Amino acid sequence: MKMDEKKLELLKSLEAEYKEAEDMGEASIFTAKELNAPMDMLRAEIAAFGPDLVSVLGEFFFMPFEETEVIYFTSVITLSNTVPEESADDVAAAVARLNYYIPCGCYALGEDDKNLVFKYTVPIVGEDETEHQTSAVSIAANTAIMTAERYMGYLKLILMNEVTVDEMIEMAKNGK
Amino acid sequence: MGGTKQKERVLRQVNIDTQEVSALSESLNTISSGLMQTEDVVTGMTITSPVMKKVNELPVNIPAAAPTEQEVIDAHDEVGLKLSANSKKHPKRVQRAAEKRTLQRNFVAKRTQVTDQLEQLRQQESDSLSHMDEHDREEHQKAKREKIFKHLKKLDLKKLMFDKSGETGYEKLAKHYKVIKTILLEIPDFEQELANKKGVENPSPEQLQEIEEAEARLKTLYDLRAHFDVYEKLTLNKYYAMLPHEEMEKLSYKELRMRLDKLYKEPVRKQELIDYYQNLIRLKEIGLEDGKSVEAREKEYLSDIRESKKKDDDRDPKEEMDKMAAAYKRMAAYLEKESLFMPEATRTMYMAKLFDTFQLDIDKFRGNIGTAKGDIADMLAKYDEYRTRPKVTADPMHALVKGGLDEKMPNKEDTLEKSDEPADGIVLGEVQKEGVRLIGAWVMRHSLSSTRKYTPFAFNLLQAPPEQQLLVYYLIENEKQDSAMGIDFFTALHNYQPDLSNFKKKFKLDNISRALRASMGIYGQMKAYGALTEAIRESDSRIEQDKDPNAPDPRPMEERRATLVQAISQRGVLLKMLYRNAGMHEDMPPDMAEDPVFRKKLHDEYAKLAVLIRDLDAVNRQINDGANTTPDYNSAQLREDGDELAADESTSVLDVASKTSEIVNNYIVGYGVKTFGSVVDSIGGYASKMTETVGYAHYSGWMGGLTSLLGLAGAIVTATSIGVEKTISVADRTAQALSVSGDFIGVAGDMLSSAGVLTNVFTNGVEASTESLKWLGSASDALWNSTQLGDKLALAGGAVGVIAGTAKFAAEAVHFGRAVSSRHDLKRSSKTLDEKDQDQLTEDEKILQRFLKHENREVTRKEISAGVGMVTGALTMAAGAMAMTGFLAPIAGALGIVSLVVDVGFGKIMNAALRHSNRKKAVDDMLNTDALVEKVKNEHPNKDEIKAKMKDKDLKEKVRTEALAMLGFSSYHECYRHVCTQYATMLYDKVFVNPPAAQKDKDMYLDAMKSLGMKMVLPGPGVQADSYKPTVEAMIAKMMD
Repeated sequence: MKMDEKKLELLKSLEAEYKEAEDMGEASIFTAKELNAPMDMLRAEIAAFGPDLVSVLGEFFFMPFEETEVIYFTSVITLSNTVPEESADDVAAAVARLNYYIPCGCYALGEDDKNLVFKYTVPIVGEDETEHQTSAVSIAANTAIMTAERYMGYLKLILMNEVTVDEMIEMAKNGK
Repeated sequence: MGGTKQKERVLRQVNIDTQEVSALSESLNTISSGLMQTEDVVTGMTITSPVMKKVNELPVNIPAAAPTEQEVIDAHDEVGLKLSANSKKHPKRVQRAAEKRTLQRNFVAKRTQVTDQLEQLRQQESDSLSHMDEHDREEHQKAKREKIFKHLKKLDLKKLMFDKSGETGYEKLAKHYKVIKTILLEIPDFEQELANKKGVENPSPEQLQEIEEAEARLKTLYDLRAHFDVYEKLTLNKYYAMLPHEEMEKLSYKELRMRLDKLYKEPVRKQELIDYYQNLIRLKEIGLEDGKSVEAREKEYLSDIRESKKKDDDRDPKEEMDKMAAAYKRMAAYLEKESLFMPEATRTMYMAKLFDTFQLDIDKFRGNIGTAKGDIADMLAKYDEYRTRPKVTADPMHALVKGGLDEKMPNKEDTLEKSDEPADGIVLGEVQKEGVRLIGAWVMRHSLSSTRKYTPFAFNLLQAPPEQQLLVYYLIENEKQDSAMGIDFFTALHNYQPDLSNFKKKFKLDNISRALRASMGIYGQMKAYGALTEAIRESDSRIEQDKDPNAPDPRPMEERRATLVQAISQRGVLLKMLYRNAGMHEDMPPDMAEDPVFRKKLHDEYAKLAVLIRDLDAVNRQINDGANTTPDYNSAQLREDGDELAADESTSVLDVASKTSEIVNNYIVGYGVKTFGSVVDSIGGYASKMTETVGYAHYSGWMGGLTSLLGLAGAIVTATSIGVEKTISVADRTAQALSVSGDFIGVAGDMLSSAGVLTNVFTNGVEASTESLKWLGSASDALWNSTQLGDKLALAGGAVGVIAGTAKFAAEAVHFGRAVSSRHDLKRSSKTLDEKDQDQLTEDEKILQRFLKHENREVTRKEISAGVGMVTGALTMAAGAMAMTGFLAPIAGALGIVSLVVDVGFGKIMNAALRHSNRKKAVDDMLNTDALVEKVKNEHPNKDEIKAKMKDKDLKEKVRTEALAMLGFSSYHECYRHVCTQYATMLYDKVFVNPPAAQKDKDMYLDAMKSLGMKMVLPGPGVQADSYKPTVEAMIAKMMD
């Protein structure tokens, strides 16, 4: 099987999982052609997310590298499209501080400072059994969702201008 | 398109007609009465009360002396602009203030001059008119109107704002006063000519276009007139001279409302500052800043006018029938799938509801699609069958689960009401009804096709009373589901037409659940409003009958008086209720409200009250043979009567109104109050006081407000509650967040539930204390007290234990996360240990001591390595996330949730199914889902089959979904959030707003709040109520983490 087909197959299994999962909304695969991008992508609505119970967009794809021995599976979750200009500096600082601590993946501010995303990439052995790969993809995607959600409350407090970055980190470190 | 926005603008006119214009038209009348037609506007106070007339004519008196440095500093200080004592800029500030004051004096002179000139012109014209015969006079006036129409129609309105002159707004007004005034004086003629043109039969398309454009222009002219009128008043205000206006203009509506709220509560009111702020608000409401905004406004009006005229149903019949048939098919499949869990009668009701929402469309479109085939034919066959069969009204599923909830749920939550018809006194317009139906049909269809199925929720929603559905859709369309105010019920009823396409854009499953929950609180107010409206209608019609001189059986004067008192009391209660729901201090003028239709409503009710009070006065004089005696307020007796009424704990507004009127009536008869004339006097009192103390005053259009207008009756109405039926929590939180009400007024609703929660759990430990109400206190105090069940809950014994216990739980959770803790924590921990007698340590404590010493070294070592630090932090944070049970602990305790779970942490397999599993468990505990499942298993009509065929897990899911839908939640997440909200609201109230008397209790709540680990800003000297931290929203975010 060609690697591209394999990647698509893996995305399809994740799609199937999300179509059945509670708290997930629409999920569907967009082909490279549709996206006019070098790779296929699964887009899923992650419902009841974070303290506001909003729906956020999850995008899951393989990095379009030629490499076949190791393939890179990436999850990107868009947490907000509307970071206010005046909060951008604080959010950036908060993200930087949080990233120091969080176990995997990272938060990031998009190019225009308006998008707050979480991203997480895992390498997967390209020639491994499909079953193993499927579960690796699923674990990675779910880890990304749950990690992104876990610290979202802290970032929200920053966005709401409720606490300073230092206070937030202090809270987080003290397990509050 | 957005019907609300459009109406908002259209109705801005109404508002201007009645309030903004009232004072202006007064002045215009004095300038040119006779020249122009008096506008037929409800000017209420201005016309009916001679005192108000007098007030209106108060001269503007600008002091001749230049302001002193101290005066300028004081003025800055009063508006919160802090100046340092010896700032080098002071002389400059003083100089500027002096210049502005001179400008003000010059402007007053100029104004007088222009007014005189215009008056002369008017006089000349009037003279020449008087020499003409009737025909010529009419011809002349007609020609003049036509000329004015053409002139104003052609005028480039944006130039009126004189943008390019580089002058300040004030200078413009002073310089161009005559031009502006002259143009504004022409508006009535323009209006008249427009009316004439509209009267033309069979107008040509060109004529129609001209009319539309003129309508838009007229509305824009109204806005301009209001703008200049307010601006004029503003510029003559003392603070205008003293303060940097550009800075003050930047204040937001919220900020201004908050300041006003504080000013209104001061024992001696700074009327001039109030005027200043109020006019700043008015300018914002009118919203014209420059020529561009004038142009844009006119365009908006024009497109609204055009849009409102073409409103045909352009839906395609075949397409609509297809959509409905698809939904029908899905519903049939859904019901088939659920046939085990849903008894037949329930299924029938689901299908019947679907057809109800489709009925009008099916009847409308079925004739247009030729012979029906396939799914459409199936649907029509079923539809016709349902139309003819008797209606099923009993839903066994609903009864079963509701019964279960009533029985088993540890802490009662209200389930949704069901009704096909609006409550008494509430009338929905035809367009509204149709809008509600269309949205309902869409929601039903959507619930069947969406990935997250929510048909039971939709089914319950669509059975709610139509006006409640209207409110829900209003909240969604305006994105107010999280920021609903009590007064939204009014706006939804009177200033909203549901718009499906807009609704679809805003709709989200989470939104609608929240909107529905918010509406459940507000709906009580809505019903009360309906009941009062109905009662007022009855009283009014009785009074009208009494006034008829030819009525066959005139009633005795005493009875008439009683009805008048009744109508006044009812209106008093209504106004108070409306003010309270809008978060407005009751002495605020009605135009401080945001919604223009609401403004008009307040104004109309005031106007009507003034008439009623005058009537009452007249009737009283007749009874007392024309004697006009001063009332003898026997406040002690009044207090006693009022206490009795308040102690009654009556929650129905109608009861409150009728008892109030009873007391007032008895009072009038029994205590020698013979006239209400004093009410008018009291308004006069304000006026004279104002001129004495302020000197500088300029008429604000509002003197005493509700309190003085109602006088005696007001005092009674004040103390009686408005019957908070149940949670209007969202509304109150918003009011609080907006700071439009610093009192956190009706959180009582939520307190009800929080209090209920604790009472249920710890009935034995709790003593209810019914503290009697503060009588005749400030309105909000009394309202607060009368509704505040939270205070009735003296947290004795058990309850204290619970909160203390939960705080400990939280502390332990932190401790748990200490596996790799920070030094800070270690220090704290060892300090406690150090304070102990070292010889008396227990074995455990000794172990701890060793452990701490070891840990201390570890930490010191770890701090060197970034990598180690990172991992350490990460693990603490992961543990912290687990320690989420810490924040939830208090809720868990209060709710009696025992099986609180620890969320899956890192290092465990991440599985989508486990995400939020703690939320689900918490909700199950709250609902007591297990008991509900048991009940279903034992009492369901299909119980044997269910037991045999259905997995326990599936049954539980279904029962939970059903129960949540009845409670108005679309998902367990929403329910969970609701619990967090309740808890956050309770904490906020107990720490910031209504702390318990005993220090120990205070600390307990404080500790619980501290356990959230957020930065706190506590009440204290110099701390504004709106800066308390954490806010309710932040606490919720934290708890939901």
